Amino acid sequence: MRTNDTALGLDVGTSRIVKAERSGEEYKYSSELNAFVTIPYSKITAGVLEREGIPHSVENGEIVVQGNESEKFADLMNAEIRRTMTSGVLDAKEPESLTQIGRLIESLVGKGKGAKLCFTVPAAPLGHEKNLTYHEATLKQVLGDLGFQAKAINEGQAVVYGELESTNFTGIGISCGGGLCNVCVSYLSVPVMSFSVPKAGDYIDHSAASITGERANRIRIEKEQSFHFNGHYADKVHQVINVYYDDMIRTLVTGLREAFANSRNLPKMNRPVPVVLSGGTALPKGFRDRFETILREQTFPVQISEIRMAANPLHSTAKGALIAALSD
Amino acid sequence: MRLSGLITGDRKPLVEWRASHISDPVERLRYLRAATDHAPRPKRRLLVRLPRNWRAYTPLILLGLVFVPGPSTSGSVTVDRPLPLPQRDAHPWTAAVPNVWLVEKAALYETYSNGLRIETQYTAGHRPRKPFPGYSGNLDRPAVRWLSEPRGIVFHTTESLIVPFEPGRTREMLRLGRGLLDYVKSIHAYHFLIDRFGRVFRVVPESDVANHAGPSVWADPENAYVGLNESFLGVAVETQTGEEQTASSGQIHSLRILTEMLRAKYKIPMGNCVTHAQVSVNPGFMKIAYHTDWANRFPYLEVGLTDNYALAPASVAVFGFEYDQVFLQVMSGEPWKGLLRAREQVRQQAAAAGVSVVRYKSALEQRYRKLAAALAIPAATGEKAHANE
Ligand SMILES: Nc1ncnc2c1ncn2[C@@H]1O[C@H](COP(=O)(O)OP(=O)(O)OP(=O)(O)O)[C@@H](O)[C@H]1O
Ligand SMILES: [Mg+2]
Repeated sequence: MRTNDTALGLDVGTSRIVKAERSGEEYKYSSELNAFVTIPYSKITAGVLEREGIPHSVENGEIVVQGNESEKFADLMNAEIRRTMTSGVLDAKEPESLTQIGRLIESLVGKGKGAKLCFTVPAAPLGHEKNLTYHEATLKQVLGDLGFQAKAINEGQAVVYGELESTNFTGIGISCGGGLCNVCVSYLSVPVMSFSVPKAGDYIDHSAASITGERANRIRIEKEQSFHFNGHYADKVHQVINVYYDDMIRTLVTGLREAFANSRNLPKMNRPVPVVLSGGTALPKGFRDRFETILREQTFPVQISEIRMAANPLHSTAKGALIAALSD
Repeated sequence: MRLSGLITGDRKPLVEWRASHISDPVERLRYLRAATDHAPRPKRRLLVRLPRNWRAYTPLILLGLVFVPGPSTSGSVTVDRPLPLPQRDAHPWTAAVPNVWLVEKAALYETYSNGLRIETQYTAGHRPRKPFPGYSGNLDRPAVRWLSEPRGIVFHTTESLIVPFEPGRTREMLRLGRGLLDYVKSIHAYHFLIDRFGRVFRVVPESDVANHAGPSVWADPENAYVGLNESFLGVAVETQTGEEQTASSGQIHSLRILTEMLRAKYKIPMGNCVTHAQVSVNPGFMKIAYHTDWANRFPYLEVGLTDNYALAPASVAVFGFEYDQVFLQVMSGEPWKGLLRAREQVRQQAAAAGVSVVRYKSALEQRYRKLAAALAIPAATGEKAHANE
């Protein structure tokens, strides 16, 4: 009896890596923070980690903690969190990026034994192409070495595959993540336009940090735990976060408008199309309403039937990648 | 785009109706993908727009003789002017070609009279270069010359992972370099790759085409070129276009002697040695610098060339492309001297033709679309980033 489809979806994001798999009718997800921390080895530190039950490894005289535990560990040891990616792609300035992302991915997906796997890659910034092929090729190689038949899928397209089954995969998928917002316009499952905007969660954190004098990490925690859109902020930090959220949404909507205006290659959408919002940065309460308000401030080049949140904003890209892998 | 390249008009409602009766998302996607037939190569089909009875045009298209209506919304504009190619008498076009010759050809390397050594163990043949067109003459009816030898060099950056250039990192750099060579070899990405230490590797033989330039244009006093994969050689440096100068002194030295050798061998004028950012275009948006490799800080003078950032890019001067905000951002607000010059030229030519700049540019754009369609160059680039699977 075959209960497990042998295919995986992997959302390789700037902040988190999410795996999706299907067993029967059910989708299952697991994720790791795409981050790591290293500190020089000492018996005392190792002892603390044992006591706290934080899994770690020792390499070349350093203690390395990866993934979800790295945050707690960094907190405990007052160490800087390092990331393998920045702005949607592998961080060329982080010498450990390749090694660490390799381990993180392996810890999530294990060995492939020839199984199919689709992983997400970002789209190029609007109107341009920065060389993304190396990022994609590197991930493909990492996954190939683990024994997977790996294929890349555009992140915005993955949102469409994960969420827009009901319109035959026609509509606009948007993922607001840590490094980028990714957008894809899809027509009957065919990606007809995709692009990214380099403003997302990290941008909000860093901009708000530089204005308030807080550390970016502190802003991030505040944002994730208590920020929501309500038009009136007593708290200065919330006020500033709100300013940069607006900035991000406006850039996104302007980009979308411009892309439609400039693109000569779009099919005529003869029916209004839906917009789906996903990603960690879309989570705060009121985000959808704010997005809609800004979108409707001016006429929009295509008719929108509805703007809705993804069923599960943190998982929809991984789910879309999985559906792509299964349908291949 | 109309639906034609995708699903023909009559079949579309049927496909949609059938799809909506498949309850499993995976099956539904599988069905739609098959019906729209966009896996694994959606790009070409989607992006090149041909007349409905295009097959009838095939021989003419191959000869470059037919006007395939571009997706431009403006009406057709005819402007009866010569192609605005660069002036013949400027230094980049008149400087003497160096004299360099092959000294020794061994199993795994070649050496040249100027000290150049080319490693050949990563060379893999690709598609042999076919005769390619050079355009001159009149704007509406360009004269075509069929050429077979490379006419210039496009400089690239690999944009790959770069670790600090320090003795302690040597092994890491060697490992990354090998990985990169394997990768660029497998996709025939350039003719030559210069690694972190300045070693020169031939990846694709010069007689073959490398996939280095994408939609791109350039012009010299003799011809305008469309689609430089065929007409120019690709030379990549293992580095990233960035804030600081990242080419090492070894890489700059190798760029210089490799450029000398190629210029000698193919009689290439200095003005045809340019960076990818200067030639790359995004036809979907009619914007320049789709790729931003060496958008600035290419060490032209140290490489023994004229400062070719001062040359008017053909994209703007000859084909009516424009720059945008993102480009200005990449350039930190300071576009190339040649770019400003090119825009000025366009203004003057429009005035000479007695039409508005907008009208003149739309005539240039139409000519680009006409030539690109004849060469089957995609009309947009949006999906290209993932095209090389
Ligand atoms: N509850 C929340 N409220 C606001 N922001 C949140 C919340 N939870 C997570 N985030 C933010 O979402 C971002 C991460 O989202 P996500 O996991 O979708 O990104 P990613 O896929 O890793 O990144 P990318 O797609 O840009 O490469 C971070 O900036 C994080 O701070
Ligand atoms: Mg993401």
